[in-house]
Amino acid sequence: MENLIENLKKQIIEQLNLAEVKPYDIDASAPLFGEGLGLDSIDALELIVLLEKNYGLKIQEPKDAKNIFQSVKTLAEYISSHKK
Amino acid sequence: MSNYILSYTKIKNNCLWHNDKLVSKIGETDNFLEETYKSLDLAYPKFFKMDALSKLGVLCAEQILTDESIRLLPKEKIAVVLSNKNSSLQTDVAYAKTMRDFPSPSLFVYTLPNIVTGEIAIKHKITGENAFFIEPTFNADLLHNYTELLLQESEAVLCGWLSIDEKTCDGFLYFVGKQTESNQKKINFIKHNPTNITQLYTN
Amino acid sequence: MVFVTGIGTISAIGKNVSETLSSLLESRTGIGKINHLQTIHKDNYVAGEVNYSLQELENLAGLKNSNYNRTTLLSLLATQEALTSAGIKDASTYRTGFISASSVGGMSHSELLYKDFLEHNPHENFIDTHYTGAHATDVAKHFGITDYVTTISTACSSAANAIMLGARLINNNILDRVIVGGADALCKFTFNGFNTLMILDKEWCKPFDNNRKGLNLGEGAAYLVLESERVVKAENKKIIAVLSGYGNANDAFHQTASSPDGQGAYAAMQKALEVANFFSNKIDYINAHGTGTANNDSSEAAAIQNIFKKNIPPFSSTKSFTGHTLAAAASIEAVISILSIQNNTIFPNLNCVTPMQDTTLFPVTSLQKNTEINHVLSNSFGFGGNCSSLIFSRN
Repeated sequence: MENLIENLKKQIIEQLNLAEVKPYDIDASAPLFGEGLGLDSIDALELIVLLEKNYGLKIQEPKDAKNIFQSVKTLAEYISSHKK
Repeated sequence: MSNYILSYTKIKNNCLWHNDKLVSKIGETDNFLEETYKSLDLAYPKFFKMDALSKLGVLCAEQILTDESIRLLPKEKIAVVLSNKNSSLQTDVAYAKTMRDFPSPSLFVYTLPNIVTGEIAIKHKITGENAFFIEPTFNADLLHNYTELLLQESEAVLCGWLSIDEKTCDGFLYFVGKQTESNQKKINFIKHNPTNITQLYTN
Repeated sequence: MVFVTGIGTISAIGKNVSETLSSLLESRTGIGKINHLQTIHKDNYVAGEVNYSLQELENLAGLKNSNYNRTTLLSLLATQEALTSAGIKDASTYRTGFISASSVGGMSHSELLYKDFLEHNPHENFIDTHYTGAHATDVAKHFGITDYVTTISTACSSAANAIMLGARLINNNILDRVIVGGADALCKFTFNGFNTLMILDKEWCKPFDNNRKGLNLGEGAAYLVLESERVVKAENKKIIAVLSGYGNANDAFHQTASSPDGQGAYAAMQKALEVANFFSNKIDYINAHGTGTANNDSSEAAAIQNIFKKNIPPFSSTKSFTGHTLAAAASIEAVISILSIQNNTIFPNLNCVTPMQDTTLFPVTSLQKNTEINHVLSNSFGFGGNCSSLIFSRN
């Protein structure tokens, strides 16, 4: 799980062009949207692409993404429980 | 009443000029726009998420719109009129490449040329009228003509030409407004006409 | 005053104004199975395609080997109809302009030919028509219009801004006559893009319905002929409608999302009412932007609520007929707004059943005939925060 979280942090920074953010700046339990990294709706769509591209997981309904994308931790949990 | 070009910026050959002053010059680099951003200390992380056309526009607009006499104008009375030939071609190509496997939503959004007007509006909270023209070449007559029409209702207009591809970067924004008490002490009132616009662009 | 003396359109609901009117009166949508666009999504989605191949469009225009792309042909056909309906045979008699709008220009053509172009067969002429402004240059040339030719590209409000610019050029005595509107052809580029934004409904779109899932893409073109009072008098022209108001503002909120209370939309409608110089209670019908996305419809409803307070005029989104035709949408809806005035009829918002939870507003869902319509407000909002409103009035 720890490995997955660290990898996710790097992938998020790359996918979302968070050029000035370092992995250690991201608190795995902090909210990704609104406060924290201040991500927006387009970032959420890019995270959906990241999930499909890197983990083969497809989110069909944007609504489902809300719970999954609460934090890096919830994202990691979703991946580890759904990955084939 | 005459309208004047109150301020202008240019980005060309790795240099950023504001009026006739060199603001930033970056040496050989693959990433001129981001290096320029860093040299200006803008602290606007959203910049890195933008496409090159938006980055170019935001950098050019920054110099003009943070000037004190301009910052005080009512934001709903500032219009933005931009133009180029190739729309968002560079981003179109980048997005089209992602279409082969995982199309990128953020790249797609930036395949609209007027997103740069939106980015400038968001950064500076400008809510006036805005337009983006596609023209075969820089067209001072069109910009002049449209700006004069807009100035019947708006206080000021941010205008210009923003063009970028892998090899060249050509950004020219200028700010047209009226002579006011707060800006009249400033020097260099350039009359707003096609000749002056062309001259500033080609100089 | 700016007078509308000619209209022309082509979209999924008809290749001309009379076919368009029939579809609207019969509540017959043009959105359906994708036949022409070769996209991997063609069996998963519906769209508002113009039901003619490139070759058939060329035939309709009476051309041979023109090398025009789909956007240019749509533009040319609608312009032709607008000029004919205005009784204009020679575009050079007055100071005449052509202001068009497009978001993708020749993209669909490039998708067909570019691979070939790189590999062996150069198709010399097409590459110059890729750029968004090429259709306007070609169509203006075709009809001999030279005094003022340009293209506006502000996403889904593009054609409204072309119409606004035309009106200002007439009001300021820079032109006597101007053909204004927009054209966009469907292409894989757009389809895949909107698919990644997850705002495409796989079934018929349901604007202003609580369970709306997104938009259907469409394609088409429409143009209006705007003329000055001087020309109208000199030529004893039949006036179809008056363009009485227009307004544009930036939402300054997000690249794509509209602000929750629709501030840009509010400002655009407010400006249009100011230019028209009348109170909001004179508006008899609103042709809404109403794309069918969760964000647009609730934001637009909030803005309409804030402008009209307790007196909300009947409104509908005719994108449930045509699909969202992007840069052409505002001009197609301008034609529909004018048809509403001419026929004293409100065309319905199809597929809307369940009222939205966050508003009391509910669109007109069945055809309303014999309703006096004198003033119509038409909204068009684009990505990049570009919001436009137009008001058309009976002369």
